[in-house]
Amino acid sequence: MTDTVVAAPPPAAPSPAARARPVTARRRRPSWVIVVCFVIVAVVVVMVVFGSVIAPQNPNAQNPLNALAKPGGAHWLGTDSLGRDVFSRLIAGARTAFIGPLVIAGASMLVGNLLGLWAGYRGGRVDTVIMRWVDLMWSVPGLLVIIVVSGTLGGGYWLAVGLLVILTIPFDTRVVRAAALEQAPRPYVEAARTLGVPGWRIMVWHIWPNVSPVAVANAFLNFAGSLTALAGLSFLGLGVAPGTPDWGLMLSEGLQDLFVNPVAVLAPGALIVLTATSMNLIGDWLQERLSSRGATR
Amino acid sequence: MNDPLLDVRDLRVSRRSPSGADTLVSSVSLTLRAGETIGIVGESGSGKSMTAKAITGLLPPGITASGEVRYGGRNLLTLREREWRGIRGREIGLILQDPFTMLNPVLRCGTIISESLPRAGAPGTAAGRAQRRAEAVRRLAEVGIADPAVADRYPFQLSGGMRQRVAIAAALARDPRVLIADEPSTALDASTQQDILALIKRVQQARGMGLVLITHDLRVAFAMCDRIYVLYAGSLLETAPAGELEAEPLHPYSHGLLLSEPPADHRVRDLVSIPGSVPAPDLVAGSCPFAPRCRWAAAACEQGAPPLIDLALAEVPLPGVAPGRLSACLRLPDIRDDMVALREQAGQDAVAAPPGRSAAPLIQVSDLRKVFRQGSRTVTALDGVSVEVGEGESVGLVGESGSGKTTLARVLAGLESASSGQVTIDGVPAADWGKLAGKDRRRLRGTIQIVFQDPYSSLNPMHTIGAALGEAIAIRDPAAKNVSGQVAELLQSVGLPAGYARRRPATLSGGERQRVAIARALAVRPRVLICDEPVSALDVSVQAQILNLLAAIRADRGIGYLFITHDLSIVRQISDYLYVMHHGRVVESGPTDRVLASPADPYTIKLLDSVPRPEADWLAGSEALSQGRAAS
Amino acid sequence: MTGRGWAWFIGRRLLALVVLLVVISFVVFSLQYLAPGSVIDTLLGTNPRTPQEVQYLTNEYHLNDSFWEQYWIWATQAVRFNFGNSIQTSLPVTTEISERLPTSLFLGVYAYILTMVLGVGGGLIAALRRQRLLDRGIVAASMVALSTPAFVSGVFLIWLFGIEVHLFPVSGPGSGFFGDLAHLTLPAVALALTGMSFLVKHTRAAVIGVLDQDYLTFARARGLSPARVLLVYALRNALIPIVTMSGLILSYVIVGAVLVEDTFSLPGIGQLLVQSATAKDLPMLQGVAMLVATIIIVANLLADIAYMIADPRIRLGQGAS
Repeated sequence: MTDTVVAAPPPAAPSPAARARPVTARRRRPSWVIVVCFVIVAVVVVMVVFGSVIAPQNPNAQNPLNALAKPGGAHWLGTDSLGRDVFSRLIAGARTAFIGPLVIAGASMLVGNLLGLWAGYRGGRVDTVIMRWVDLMWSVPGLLVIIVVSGTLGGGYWLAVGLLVILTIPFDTRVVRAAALEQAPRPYVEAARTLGVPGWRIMVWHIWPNVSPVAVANAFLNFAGSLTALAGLSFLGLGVAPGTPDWGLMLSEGLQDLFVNPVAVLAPGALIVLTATSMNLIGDWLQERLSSRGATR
Repeated sequence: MNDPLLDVRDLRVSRRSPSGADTLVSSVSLTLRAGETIGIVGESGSGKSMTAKAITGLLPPGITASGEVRYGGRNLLTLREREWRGIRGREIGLILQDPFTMLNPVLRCGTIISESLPRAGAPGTAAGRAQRRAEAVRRLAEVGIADPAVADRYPFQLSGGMRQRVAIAAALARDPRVLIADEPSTALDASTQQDILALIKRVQQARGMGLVLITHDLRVAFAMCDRIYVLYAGSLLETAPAGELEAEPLHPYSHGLLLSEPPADHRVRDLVSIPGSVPAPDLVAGSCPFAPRCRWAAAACEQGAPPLIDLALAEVPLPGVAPGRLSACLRLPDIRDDMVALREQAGQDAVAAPPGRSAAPLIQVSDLRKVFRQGSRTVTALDGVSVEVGEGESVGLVGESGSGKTTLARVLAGLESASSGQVTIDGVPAADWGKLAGKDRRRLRGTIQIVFQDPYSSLNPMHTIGAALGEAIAIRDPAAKNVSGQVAELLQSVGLPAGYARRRPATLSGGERQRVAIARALAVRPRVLICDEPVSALDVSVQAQILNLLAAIRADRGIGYLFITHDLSIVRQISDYLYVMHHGRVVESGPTDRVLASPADPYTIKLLDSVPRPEADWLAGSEALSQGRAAS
Repeated sequence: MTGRGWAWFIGRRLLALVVLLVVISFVVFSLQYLAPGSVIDTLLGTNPRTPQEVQYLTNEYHLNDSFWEQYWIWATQAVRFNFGNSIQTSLPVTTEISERLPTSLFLGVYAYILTMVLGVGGGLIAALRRQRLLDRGIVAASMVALSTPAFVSGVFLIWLFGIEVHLFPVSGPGSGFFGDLAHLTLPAVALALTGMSFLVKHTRAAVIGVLDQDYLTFARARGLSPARVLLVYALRNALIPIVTMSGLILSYVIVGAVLVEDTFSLPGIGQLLVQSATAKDLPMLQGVAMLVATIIIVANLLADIAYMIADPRIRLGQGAS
């Protein structure tokens, strides 16, 4: 179905509506890059769910005599400073790398979207309050706050997750609010109001689908960001408990022995980067797909 | 000096696309002499803007042009970018359409002009700066801006008309010999439009330039141009001297375009419209581009694109036609008389509307005031407005931007509340819907509905047409059965096939989307419909379709209209009673025919005068006034 | 904007700054009550709990006074840059901080400059060569860099330049300006990567947005030189949204500094922050937190001023005269 008309510029309007471009709704197959991203994420999910089954060795089994072995033989990626199998620890570490960010991105998306829709559509005093709070959080470097609070309260993985949820909600709120603000004055929203459609239905059924591209992309961005943040906290010793298989912790553990078995350090780092990049790219791709569905100008 | 200044031959513009190349302009040839004004007339998608950009070498990336653009003995299309800089601005100037985006927002107006000036005075020295500023002020005076302080202002501090004048001064800074004006007045109010066009004409004559005027409004072309080129879907369909084209168009498209523009001086019985909408050039490549919409199309029209031929010099010359008239219609000898007859018939007066107003008005507004507060500023949008709309009556509301007409519409539709005054709709006090009981609000919603101006955002892009209409139906009757059947009925009542229910708005044309918006408003069976500029954003050939649809709906269902527009010709065709608004007040009211035939208020007179007429005095009349208005 | 207008604006913002600092100071001060265990235990740290110690600490920190009195005492001291002594080292907090500050400052400024120059430059080049190979390459690289936290890139750089290719020293701060430069290059690069990629993405989008604008086409139509079109028309307008982001960039740099200093064993403020957090060294923590908060707030204020200077519409208010 091709669109065949582009609008004439409206006469005597102070700023004419942007000219529409002809729309060709062609379903294009995702590029190979996106496919690779999906594969990577799928592999990580498999590691999370089936980790204990597929790991060749016990990730926590220490063997000091075989410490810092190079890759080869029974240990595909060698061993770390306590003789533990790096490969198995990588697989086990997927759990902390995936579940926390999933909770954070999901919870933040839920609350942030609701707040953002409310602030953007209803406006008024509620909006002012929400915006002040968002602006305040915007200028605060979240990780530092977590370091300070986490340190004071003794650290811990789920504490960090909880704090990150609180710190990520403002970002979702801001993005969704901006998008909702763009939609709210549009005639289709006003037409719904004149018809008598109730406010909640306008927000959820009318506005949100048009906001969903940026909201979804932002959720994936938050996932990637939380992943690196949690890994960073573990790296500093403020995240998971010592000894837990965790990509960030593995990095700090292996740092002093970088020269002996670099793989023990580079592998978890590479996994962090690969997973985060894949989620970012998937988020961008989803945004494009969702907004081309509505295919406006 | 009869050599043409600009000679375009067989210009083709196409866009690279995954499937090969999309044609944007298939073959345009035109000539321009010094002191001459030619008009390129076309609707959206005709390729007129691309032609202008091709001539100045400013095509966007991915779009290429071929053919010849001869200027000064060279083919401009073969120039390299470095060589273009000697042509652009210095030989050929270009003015774009939207004055609100044409000027760099971070530069002062004086700078915008002086940066385009040829190097005058030593740069960087105080004397050089003073010299350049003096020159900029002089140029501003040339375009009718007498106040030198404007040179120190930023564009956002000026009105649309002032910005356009600054843009014209900047475009003329290097004294080009040819000026291309791409819809220079479309984004402005009617009265400002007249001023700007008059200014361009005056400047052209004073400098002896050639002018290429691109517009979608045939009436403007008649008033301004010596010769007109009619462009449709990338092809030239007719070329003629302006006066002869106005007297008798010799192509069904020009004919239809002319008839689609309603006259302002009387109400016609039938508004002739062209069915369908403008296609992409590639879709009509192997035939006459207008054939799918032409009422006289025959089999021969589909077998290859008809060539553009000089009617007087053809094998079988058309009688009574001077050389210089070109047309791309095969059937002209057969249909010529039909076209003339149709034009006569369409020009006949409508049956006079019954005078007098109904005793029991459905909508009653009395002394309505609406004040907006923006930070520290207060804006009075409505300043004591009183209007009435009777049951089944069609009332027109005319005003330019800032007159308050849209605010009034929004208050009536419940989107805003009044600051003071009374509004009564069907007996229910409606000044502030928030204070009403739910039952009353529902009653109001079932009484009054609104159709908005921009069809491209009146429909939710993510919902199918069926879902949008279904929602409206469910609002009226939550227990409705056979919703899809009712949706199909609604679609048919606005002239759309039932299958459209499955489609999304992005796949519909502007006219079709507006039909859906009307259907949605009708779903709740209102007794009065507010139409806020419902056709301003549509192509001319589609406007008449929608106006006819609205008239038919009114005849069918007895719905009343409050028809809001800035266009006097349109309001003449569709309304019985008229209110004229200016700066938040009603300055004149009365039966439409009487107000437009003998206006009393000076503002109404000025508004009537701003409607483009194909006479030379239309421009001359405003020139004397334009100097005075320039400072406002 | 007039001189008086500027004075009003800055005055109001400074007032807001002070209020914000007070609020933050209050939160920071309350931290010692959030920590698990009694305040005394926290202040003792690893020292043995003897009655003399308890008495001494109670007097020193006025623990018998009410909460507000304690806060007041602390706040008045803090304004005079006296945060007490570190629990870990027993040295004055201010001394420790000022010892570590130069390293962090150098690192921060170095990284910030790298971020801005390479970020804006990269985004500009990508936008100008849109859809061509260079653009795709820059976009892809910045996508990966965006997902690479500073400590991962730091480790990678250490491995690359410390082991494989001996180009830069991999730990410690060095001495003298050029020593600093050499030693802090790798950390600065690791630090700059995240912010740089963020900036590339947004600069590219901003410039592309500007390139499509009518005023650019109109400028070219008047025959203006390509240099002027690029600088005064494209870049100047594209920088407006970017200036507003400079505050956020600073946040990235500060956050990254913490991770990077740990990776490269640099004795800076970031490392101090982490150490004092894990060791619950409250006076030190409070001092560092206040310092960082002040830096961020001042930087945001500067960014807002820059935004006002850059965009005349903000400066002079919307609307026709």
